[in-house]
Amino acid sequence: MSNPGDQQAFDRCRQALFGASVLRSSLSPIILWGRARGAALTETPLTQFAPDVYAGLYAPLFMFAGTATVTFDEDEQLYKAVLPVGFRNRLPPGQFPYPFWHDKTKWSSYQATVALQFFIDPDSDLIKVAQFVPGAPSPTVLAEAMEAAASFDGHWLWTDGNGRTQPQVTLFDGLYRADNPHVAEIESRYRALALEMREAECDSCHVPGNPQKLKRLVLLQTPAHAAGEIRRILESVRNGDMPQDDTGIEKPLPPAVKQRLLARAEAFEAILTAARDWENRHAAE
Amino acid sequence: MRPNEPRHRRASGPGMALAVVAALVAAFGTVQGEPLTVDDAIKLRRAAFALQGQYFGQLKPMAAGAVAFDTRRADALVTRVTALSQMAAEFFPAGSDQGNTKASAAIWQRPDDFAQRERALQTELAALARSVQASDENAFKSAVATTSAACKACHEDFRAR
Repeated sequence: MSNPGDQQAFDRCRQALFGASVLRSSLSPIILWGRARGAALTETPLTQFAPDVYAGLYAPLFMFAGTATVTFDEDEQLYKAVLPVGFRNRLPPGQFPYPFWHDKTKWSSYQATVALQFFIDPDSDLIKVAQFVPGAPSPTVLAEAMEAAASFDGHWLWTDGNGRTQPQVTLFDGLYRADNPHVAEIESRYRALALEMREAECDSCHVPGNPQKLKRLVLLQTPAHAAGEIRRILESVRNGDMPQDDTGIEKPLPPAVKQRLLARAEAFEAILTAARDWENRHAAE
Repeated sequence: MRPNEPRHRRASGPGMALAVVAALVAAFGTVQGEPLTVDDAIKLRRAAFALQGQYFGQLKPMAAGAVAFDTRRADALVTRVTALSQMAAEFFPAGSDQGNTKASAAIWQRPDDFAQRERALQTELAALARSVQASDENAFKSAVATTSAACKACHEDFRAR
């Protein structure tokens, strides 16, 4: 394994997994991700990700030993592949999809990860659930986690000392070519969408803090997370399935808010499509 | 009767539940004594859930402090929600995940889990009722929140998106 702060190793891993990788092509259209807690999957809180988001932002945070064991989990009726890993806990803050250190338990668990486990559907051969398996965190890790949690300022997106939006990994930095003419506009259109999502109270649920304690959280707080979910955002808002009240029942948006939200979401989807199309056209160069 | 005891309580409970059932059955044209079709069951439970939402929704402004805590009104609402939730639970026959419904197939795949959610809701509603009967506004606010959470937990697992 490389050094946990090795930026070049991380970049190569991201590009390889985000590209035409076996991992990416083996992911279900919605993959569930989170910490292994020793409970049944149905009872375990997990976050829903599009394959792009998992392959480009989360899986590369781990260094793989290159081995795996596969068994059949009788309780879940799914194959379980266990891959020994280490966590890249020394990368700059902007290389993590969001500040995992907002929660000391989460950050210490990530840092103590000893393996990933993938649950694979025997019918489709696709990975439905991926979990990180923490070992025993060291006292040093726990102390660092508590310090980091105390310093979190509540912002999922922030601006660094050079005026750059962070986390920069969520702006497709390093995943799309630097000369892609559409990438620069992704951030500005996301910010326009984010304002409307705030008006529609999307951020009262779809953020890493999981204020509604959802068992199947969807994250929308960065360009990359929203990009992975843009079609579901559009569909659920058009159909009136979102937002929901605190009992999980649809709560209609005022028509003007809904119209603005859809317009911004469509504009964001259009620039994402243009950026991806450009990448595909120039892939051979 | 204690000073804070709601006066209408004699009109609640099984009598009210039967009256609401009768109204629902009348509204949807099912005939007493005949087996329900799947479509009828879906209509009835949807009606029961819609009414629960309407009545429970009236409790939320009280819990939020937007309107005054009125024990008499709150007790009527909690009684109705409790009765309706118990009725709705009876209208999930096999095959009724198909049709005009958001009921997830998981209800029939994991009936024990579904039943556990229903019991959890009844536990929260009982606590809510006790808070109202005790005129304990703080307990009432807390119970409305935990009842909402019980609703949401079930909807998250068993209501199709």
